[in-house]
Amino acid sequence: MASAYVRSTVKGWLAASPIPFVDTVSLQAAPTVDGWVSVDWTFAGRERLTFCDEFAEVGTFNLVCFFRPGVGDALAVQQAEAVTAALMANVDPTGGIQLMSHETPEDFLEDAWYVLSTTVNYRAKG
Amino acid sequence: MSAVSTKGLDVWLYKADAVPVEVVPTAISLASPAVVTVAATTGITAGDVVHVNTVGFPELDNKSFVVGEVDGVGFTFELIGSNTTGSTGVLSATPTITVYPSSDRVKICLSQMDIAAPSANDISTNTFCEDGSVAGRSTPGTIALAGYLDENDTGLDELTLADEDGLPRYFEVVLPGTLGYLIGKVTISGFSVTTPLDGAVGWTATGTQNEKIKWVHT
Repeated sequence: MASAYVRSTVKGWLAASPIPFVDTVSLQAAPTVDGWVSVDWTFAGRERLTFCDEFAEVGTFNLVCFFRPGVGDALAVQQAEAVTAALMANVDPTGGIQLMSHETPEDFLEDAWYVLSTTVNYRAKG
Repeated sequence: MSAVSTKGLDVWLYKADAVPVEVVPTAISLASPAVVTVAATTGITAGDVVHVNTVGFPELDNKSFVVGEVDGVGFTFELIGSNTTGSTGVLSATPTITVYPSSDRVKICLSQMDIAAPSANDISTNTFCEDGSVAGRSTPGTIALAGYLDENDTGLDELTLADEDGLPRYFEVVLPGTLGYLIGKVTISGFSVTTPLDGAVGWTATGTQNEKIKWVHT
């Protein structure tokens, strides 16, 4: 499970995304826009780095972009890539979290929404 | 038999500019550990590393130990790792013990540590008739250390300084629980930075044991 610091930092960065960020974890959300992004916390583990009990949190989350029918995959993919690029450009000046890399997006349908989900790998101070 | 995890293990490097305290023993007990009597125990605390100069006890002479219990009333301190039981040693005319205060050491945060014992390179004397070998020149023990770069790590600063000045320093590992200590003198001879494609920026260092790293315990 991602730590509170990781969650709040990533959510803060996503608030400046090219499309609106909607937090959907344990919240009711009914976005009315054509495209929006949310985050799905998938995995996080803690590894011991040194004998001084320094730890690192290593994890992944999915950057999930939802698009209403009619947007078309060309624009959807373009916007999803822009969201990913904007997020990955962020640097935490405290070094508390580093976004290491991201995978290529997967696309699928969920209800009526066209969804593009991109896995992001991160390391954080544990 | 029991196995103890490395949780709680601390690694220390003494500073090259550490100011040792020289004390003159007035008596040394025949015990395990040996108890040293001095005129005053000022500046001596449990955990300090000591080097026993020529005191007249072959079990102690020119060896390093860790200070155990200090008695500020009776002016005595224990030498953890020593055993003078049954010794025929007699206190020499000018005995001295050099105490390296633990306040002159810095903690180094390691992700890995390998200590290799000294080895002897045997020289083969094989013939067609028989096999054999004689002892060759011994190779001093080595240490290999690794960790992660951290600009706020004062221990890492001391380690890089050790790499630059090439001066021998006491190296001390405080083992968890009641396992005791590993102590010896090392010269750091190589410091390198490792930059994995995906991961944390790390460092590695190697060193030579000027005084064999040994395990001492009560």
